[in-house]
Amino acid sequence: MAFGKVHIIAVLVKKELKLVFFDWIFYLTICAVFLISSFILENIIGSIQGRGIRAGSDPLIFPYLVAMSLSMVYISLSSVVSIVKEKNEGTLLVLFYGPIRLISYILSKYFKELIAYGVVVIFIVIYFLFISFLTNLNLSIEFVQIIISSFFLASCLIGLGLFISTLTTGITKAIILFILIVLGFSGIEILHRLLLNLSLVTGSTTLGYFRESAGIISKIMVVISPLSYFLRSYDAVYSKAPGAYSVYLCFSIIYTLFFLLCSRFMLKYKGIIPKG
Amino acid sequence: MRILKPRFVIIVCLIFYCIFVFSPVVQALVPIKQEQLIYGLSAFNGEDYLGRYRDIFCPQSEDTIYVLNDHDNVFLPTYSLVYFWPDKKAFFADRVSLNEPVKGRLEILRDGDIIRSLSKTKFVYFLPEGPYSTKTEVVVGKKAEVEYEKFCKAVVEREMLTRKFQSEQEQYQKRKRELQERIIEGEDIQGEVFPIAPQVPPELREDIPYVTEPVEVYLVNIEEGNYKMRIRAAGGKIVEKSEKNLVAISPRKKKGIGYEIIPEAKYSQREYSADWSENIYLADDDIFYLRPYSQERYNELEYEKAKDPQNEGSKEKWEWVRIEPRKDIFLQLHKRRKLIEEIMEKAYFVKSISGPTRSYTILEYRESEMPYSHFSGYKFDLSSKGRGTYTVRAIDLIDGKSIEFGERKIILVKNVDDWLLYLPVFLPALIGFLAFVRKKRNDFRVRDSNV
Repeated sequence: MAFGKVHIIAVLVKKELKLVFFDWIFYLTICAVFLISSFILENIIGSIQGRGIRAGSDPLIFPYLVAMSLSMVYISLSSVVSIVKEKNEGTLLVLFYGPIRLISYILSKYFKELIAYGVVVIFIVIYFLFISFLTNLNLSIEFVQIIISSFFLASCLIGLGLFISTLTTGITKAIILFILIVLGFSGIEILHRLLLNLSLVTGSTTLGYFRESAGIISKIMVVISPLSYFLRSYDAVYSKAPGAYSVYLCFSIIYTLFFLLCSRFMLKYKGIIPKG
Repeated sequence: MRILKPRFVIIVCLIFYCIFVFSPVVQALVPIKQEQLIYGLSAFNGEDYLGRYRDIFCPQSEDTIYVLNDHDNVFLPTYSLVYFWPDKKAFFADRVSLNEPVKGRLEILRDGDIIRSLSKTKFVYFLPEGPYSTKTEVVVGKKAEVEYEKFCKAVVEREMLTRKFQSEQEQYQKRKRELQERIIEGEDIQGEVFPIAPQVPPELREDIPYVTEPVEVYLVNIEEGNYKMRIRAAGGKIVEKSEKNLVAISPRKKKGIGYEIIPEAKYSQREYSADWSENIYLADDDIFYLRPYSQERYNELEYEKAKDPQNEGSKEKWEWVRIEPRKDIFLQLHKRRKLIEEIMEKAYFVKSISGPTRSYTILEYRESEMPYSHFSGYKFDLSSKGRGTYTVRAIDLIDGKSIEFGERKIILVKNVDDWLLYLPVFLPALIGFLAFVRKKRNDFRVRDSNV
């Protein structure tokens, strides 16, 4: 029985992945990722060459984070669109006349996006290996750990994206809602970090209040934002805290499972055909 | 043209005067001074006493004073005129107009119990390497007075020696000029005794320890924890507005070694590596010097407040604080886990080369040839060791063990043409193109079969 479900998921994933890998937008995204990473690296290497010497953390991390976030945008939007598109086209209903269950369908969507992200990461790793060979900038163990945590972030975002996809009726609505949620998460996180880095000169109590408020909201975000899990695991990598790192990865798994179950519930509750 | 009536002119002038005087802009320029009981502070910041350089105090607006645990911290409560300066966003004290020390005993309380009742004690700053010494010590009690007297005596002796040397120098110059004039006039000076240039006395070559004037202060040295403090006047009453919270902070357990990096070619452009997760990247400068120092990690808010109660910081951030140079270690250079070189600390002399671009040559210090050394450090010359990645390890001189968090990677970055960085973009573009062509071909095939 379980094997049958796995087989169904595998067939669905294979079918979906074929579409992804023959889609030129997928490769265009990777090209854009490479182009932006190269531009950032050009600046970083230029600054090291200009100064002659520089002390700092791994210079490949920042371009990787940018590359990762760009590919994450593609993967998340693709997950947001996936179910709502089939719902609108009416193909979803046809699918459930066969032996496919709701959970198999959702899991197939989830694994499709995750594998697609994995392929993007393979491209990115090849790119950074090439850069490392060219410049002698090593790929550190921290770099590998960050790649692993980026998978967990992708997993969370795909879960959230699928949930939004089941929640809404129109593609535009789904995309706008998802962007608003992610912007809200990242905006608060970035604002909090910016406020922490502002000048330490005293006298500005307003800044203090802002900092405190952002700090409180950030504490809430620790629980509800997948981006926060990633940033905390990133901090754990650099403070050599494997315990904290594993905890945040576990949080990501729970987060993903929660939203996948919510998606199933939502599809069952709202029905697979848009109302009206 | 009609001449303006004088009354009209006076009224207009008065209006303008009133607008000018009562405008908020003008009012902001005149600070309102307020008499306050303030705690003058010279708290130890791990390396030095900042109160030595500027007036640091805790105004009434701050209710907590932070200090480092188990260190002597200087407290001097006074009544002064305090004003807020908007540009600097901080309170300043006008000590010229009012600077009256608060009399009484300083009480420190923990959980409501008085654990210390301190009376004032004489204190001086003792700078062992002279007025520009990088290290400051605090001397208290009778020893402070003794040190100050010693310093005054040494200053007088030095003054006398200086005068004596100056007069010898003047006599030498005078005799030299006299002989030169006689030579110019064509006089035969054979048989004359040529003067010998007087040498700077060895006592004048080195700075004497510098000691500040003794001041009566409270010396607070407490262990980590939260306390309350207040001043009790002679009559037994608590001095009004003297109560404050007192927090003694300690560093986070993780300690490590920080490095100051001095490139040979750019001596003045130094880099610092405090965090052990950082690497040192080199592009052209294969020769550089490392100066290791011990460091401690503090909570940013607590540490910044300990430096100056008017500073701000974040409770959530941690910062590395430089403590003192590490003299009890040596450095090892490794490549692919193989020991290449053991490097010991040496003194260096810096020679600046004048020219269109300012550059430096750093030479190993030789006492006989160079007046003094500029710095001591560990020299790394990677020019003959090939490109690649190296590791620097700090080793304890006593037990020979590698010091925790004292390791750094040195990465020699290759010079690359910019276009090479953009080369990988073609890989996904090519695969994408092939995928697109194949998809189109499939689409045509499906269409053909349908037809």
